[in-house]
Amino acid sequence: MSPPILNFLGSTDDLAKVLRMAFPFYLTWDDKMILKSCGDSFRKICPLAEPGRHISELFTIRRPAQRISPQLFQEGKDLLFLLAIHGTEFSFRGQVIWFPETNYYLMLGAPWINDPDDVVRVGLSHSDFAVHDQTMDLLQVVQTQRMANQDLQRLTDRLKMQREQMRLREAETKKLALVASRTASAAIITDADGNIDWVNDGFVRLTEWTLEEVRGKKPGPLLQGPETSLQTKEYMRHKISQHEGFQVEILNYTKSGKKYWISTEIQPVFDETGVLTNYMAVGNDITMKVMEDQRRSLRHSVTKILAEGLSLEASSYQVLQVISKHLGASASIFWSCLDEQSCCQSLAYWCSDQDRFLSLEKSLKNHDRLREEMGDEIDWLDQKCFWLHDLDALGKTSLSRQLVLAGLNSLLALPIVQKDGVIGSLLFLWPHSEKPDDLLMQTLNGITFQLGQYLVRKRAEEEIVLAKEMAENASRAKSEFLATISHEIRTPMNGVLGFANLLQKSDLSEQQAEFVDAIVSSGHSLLRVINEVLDLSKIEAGRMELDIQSFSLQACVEEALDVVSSQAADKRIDLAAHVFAEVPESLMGDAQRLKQVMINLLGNAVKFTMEGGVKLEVQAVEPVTDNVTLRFSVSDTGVGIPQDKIDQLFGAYQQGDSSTYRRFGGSGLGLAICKNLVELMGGKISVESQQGIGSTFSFLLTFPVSHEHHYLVDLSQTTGLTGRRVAVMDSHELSRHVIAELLTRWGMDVKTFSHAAELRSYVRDWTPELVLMDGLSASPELISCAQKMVQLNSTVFVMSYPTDLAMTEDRFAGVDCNFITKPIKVSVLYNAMMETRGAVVCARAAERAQVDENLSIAKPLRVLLVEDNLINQKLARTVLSKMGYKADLAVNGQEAVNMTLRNRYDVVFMDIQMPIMDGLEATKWIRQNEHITGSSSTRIIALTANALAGDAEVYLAAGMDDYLSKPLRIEELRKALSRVDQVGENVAAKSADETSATQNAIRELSEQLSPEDAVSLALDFSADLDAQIEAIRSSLQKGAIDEARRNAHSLRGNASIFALEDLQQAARAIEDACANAQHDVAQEAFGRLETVAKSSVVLLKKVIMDEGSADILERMS
Amino acid sequence: MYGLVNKAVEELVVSNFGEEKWELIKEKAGVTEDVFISNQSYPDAMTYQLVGAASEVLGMSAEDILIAFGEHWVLNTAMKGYGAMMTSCGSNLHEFLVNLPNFHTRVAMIYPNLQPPRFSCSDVEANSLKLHYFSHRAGLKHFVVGLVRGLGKLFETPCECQCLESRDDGADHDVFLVSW
Repeated sequence: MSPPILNFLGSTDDLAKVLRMAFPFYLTWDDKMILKSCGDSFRKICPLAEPGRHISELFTIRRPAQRISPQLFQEGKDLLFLLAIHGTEFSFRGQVIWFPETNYYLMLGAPWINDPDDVVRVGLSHSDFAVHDQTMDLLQVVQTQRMANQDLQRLTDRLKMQREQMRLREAETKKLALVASRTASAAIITDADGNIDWVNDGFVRLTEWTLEEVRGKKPGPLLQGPETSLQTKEYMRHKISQHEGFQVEILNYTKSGKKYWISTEIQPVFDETGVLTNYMAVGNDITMKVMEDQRRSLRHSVTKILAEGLSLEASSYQVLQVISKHLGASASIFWSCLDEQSCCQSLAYWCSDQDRFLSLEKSLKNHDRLREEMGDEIDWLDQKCFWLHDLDALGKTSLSRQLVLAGLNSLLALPIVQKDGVIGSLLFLWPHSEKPDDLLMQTLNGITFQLGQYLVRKRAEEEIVLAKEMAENASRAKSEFLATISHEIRTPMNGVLGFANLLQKSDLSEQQAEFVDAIVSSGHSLLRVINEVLDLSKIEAGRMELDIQSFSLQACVEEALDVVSSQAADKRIDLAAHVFAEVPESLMGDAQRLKQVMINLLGNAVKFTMEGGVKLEVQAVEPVTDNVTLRFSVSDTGVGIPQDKIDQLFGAYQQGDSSTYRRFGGSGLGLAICKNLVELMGGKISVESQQGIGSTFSFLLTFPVSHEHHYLVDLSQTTGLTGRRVAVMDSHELSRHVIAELLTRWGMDVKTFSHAAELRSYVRDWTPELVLMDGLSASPELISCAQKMVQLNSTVFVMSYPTDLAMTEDRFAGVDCNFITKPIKVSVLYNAMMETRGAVVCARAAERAQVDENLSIAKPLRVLLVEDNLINQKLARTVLSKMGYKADLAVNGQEAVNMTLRNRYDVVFMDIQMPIMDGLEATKWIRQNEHITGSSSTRIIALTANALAGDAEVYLAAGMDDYLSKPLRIEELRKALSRVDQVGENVAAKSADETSATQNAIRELSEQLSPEDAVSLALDFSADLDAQIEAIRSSLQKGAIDEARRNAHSLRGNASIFALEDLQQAARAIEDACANAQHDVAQEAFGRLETVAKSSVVLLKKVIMDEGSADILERMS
Repeated sequence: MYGLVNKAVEELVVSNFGEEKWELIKEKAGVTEDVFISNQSYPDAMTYQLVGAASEVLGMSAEDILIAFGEHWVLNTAMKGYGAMMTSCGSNLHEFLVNLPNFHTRVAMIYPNLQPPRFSCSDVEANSLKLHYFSHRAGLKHFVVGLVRGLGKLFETPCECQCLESRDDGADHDVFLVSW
């Protein structure tokens, strides 16, 4: 190529353009190695390529490793030059063509690029290469190859990883296989159908089956047996059908038939696609654990049965059943030989199949026969267990033959041993069995020991029950004895005290009176002791019942105080009760029992107090609502109680100190009764005491507040007292304080003084309108003081115990004063205060008992006394006669019934215990007769020495209306009679006209005859009235109508004398009925006549009394 | 098809839906290959099965998968494997599309067993041209749409690719109007 060609390359000729396009990386230089021209693409890879530059500035020759020189290029026309372009990382490759003519050099080449990315980095693009240039294409091939290599590397890595995983898996599999093969657990692998593929050594050891023997067989039929739980088998079948894993505990059998328990986990095995391929089972022998669990369960079951408190027979049977089932026995029997070893008693017999084995019971129950026939070997009385595998070996006794025939061949006998030897035994029978293992035998021995303790305990319990029954019988007998003896003692006491009371009222010498007083006092003491014994026995028998009624607390307190007041007076000690203002007056409760407790405590307090006083306080311990809790405290200044005796104070038959207190007497039951009564009422009693200082007995009781009024004091009238000056002078602090508090409560201006001098000095500046002074000492100074106060226009009240009243009145005879008894009663004090104002007084709390000898006049009654005891008859009739009643007498119930049929009685006093017919039976008959005849009801009052609680209910249930406790007390009898509703009580309802008409008639008679004759006539009429009425009755009964008419007519005439209008009318009604031959009407009218006759008599007697004829009566009597 | 295509499908699925889905798709398609070798030829059916299984497993239509695959091919597979070749093929969408015939000639040279599609351009305007797509394979029309969209994204030139004529409708080849 000539230089012009080279120049041509740089020209703008089209061909030159084509050549430049074909060789975009060409470059030329001259012989001086100066660049002459180059392609555009070369300039891109060699920025320094400017014409005129020495080519050594542009590049260095890398291959061949020679320096740039003309000679190199001239000789190297066949060489491939590799240039290193200066200033870049790139190489350039090509060939150099030398044109000798011009000494120019042309290099045709292309950049050498290994990485396709370098093309872009250099700044080249496809357009920099000639289209025919393969550089870019080859680079893509390289790139593709590189990517393929990367893919292969990835594949290789993955294969390596998989191989590693396989290796690890294989190693693991080897280990698992080793474990599976060597483990003690039994392992099975089956195919998907459950046929055994493989078993490990553990399986072989446990089941005695070899792999060869079991391969291809199903494990279930191979391993399970008759006692394998059907439920468990069903569960396994279900789980396997669901392809689910599970765990079970199951009873299996070895090849030789030995049972074992295994806990097996069975899991299905799936391949990667989820297809079931195998089942794998791993199991552990848990026979020991299961047996232990079963033994524990057996022990537990037996313990539970024994603890359930069943009867001996029931528990014995259940125990036998539980053990037999555990042992798999077919029959068993339980003997107890507790009483006597030679005589065993069968407690229970059990069998699994009644049809087969029940018939053996009779033979087996015969222990003696068993011993005889089975010989000494089976005699467990030597305290050893006995096991017999084959009964045949025992010999051909009839019993063993019977057992063998029944299919029972094996026998186990277990003795029940306690310290005294064998006290029972258990016998179990099987068709054929192995002897229970040692562990089970240990358990059975433990159970038999337990049974032994149980038998002993049961026997002891039976003895206790027996002892309890005996004790209860004894207690019942005691109660009955007490009731009987009480009756027996009280009946003669009734006589003794009754007649002594009557004797007291007769004329007696002083000495006789003393003797009689002693009899009465001793009798009452004896009666009190009897009552206390009876009370305690009632409480202890749980037969004490409360009689809850509305009552006045103040009255109850005052009555209690009254009982002990005379003792307190005798000992000259102070006695006072303070019921606090806030305490409600009316309560619901058993007033008698409350009073009994208070009397007892007050009595003790007075008994043990030599000087000072006794105080009863009642206060509310919390604000009063519908209920009120009250504290009752009885304080004394007595001898006190030693601390070490306090605890036993409330025990029965206990006294504080026998040596010290013996002298005070008493049954020793009082506090025990108090404690029991307080507790019965829901309270609690306590005591605080200091020797030499005194004692305080307290008890708390809660009562509902009653809405019935029992007010002793009409507080609405206390206004009349407000501000009045009153001086209270009492040397006794308790009384002084209590009285002052009461008076202050009523609004009075109260000053208290402990002795006369104090009062006298005080009155100089303050003159009381009223003075209350204790008259106990009745000293001249006191009398003088009283006189002084009278002079000062004070109204003076002298206070005195009732027993001292006469003496005190004598002492103060010269003083114009009033007397009032101690202990002060609220109502009495209030009335005394009010009387000084001329006000209307309130009723007294408790009326004193008096023999009202005219009661029969005020309340005429026809009385029947039914009593078998002669003394009681006499006493009752005497007391009744004292009141003016003449009682008819029946000596037994039968007589009483007959008499009530013949006569109408207003009241019947009925003894309970009588021969022939007792009081209850008689009452029932009387009530029945009343019902049949339609006659009005007679009041029947029981007379009884039986005061046990509940008796009242019995009497009332029998038809009685009331009851009186023997010995009869006059006051109680009077009260009972006052409660009788008889027609005479209607007197008050009679019209004033009738009364005045009768009065006028009497007055006229008195004027016509004489007062005495008038009264006598009236009394004769009254006395004859019954006879007249009886005559009418008799006439009517026998049907003598005319006779009845005449008698009625006669009566009517007599009645008209005294203007007894009602009686006249009643008689006329009979008269008319008889005149009209109306027998029935007459009978009916007769009933009214009887009623009216009684009221007429009452009216007549009342008029006689009102007319001032009492003295005439007295004279006449 | 060469392994490169199946590998691209794998990358698309794994990068967007995870390895498990890909395994599931392979299992469903009956493909057991662990690794696709880029320059190894695999049956076309395998690719079709993979796309079909992906559609089923991923709950997408085959069309959507092909479009996504086209975009992925341009933006990831081609750029990663042949970035230089791609970028040296044109500096903008217009240039690249015009060079597309040469590009495929070169691809055919690199992969001798490949039966690559053929492209030609007509009605070349400043902002549009008609792209003619000739392929012996059926059903890859939406793959072309995805490729064009991917190129638009590559050259940051939002474009539309509307099918004017389709082999499905009996045309000789598919014709797309690409406008940007």
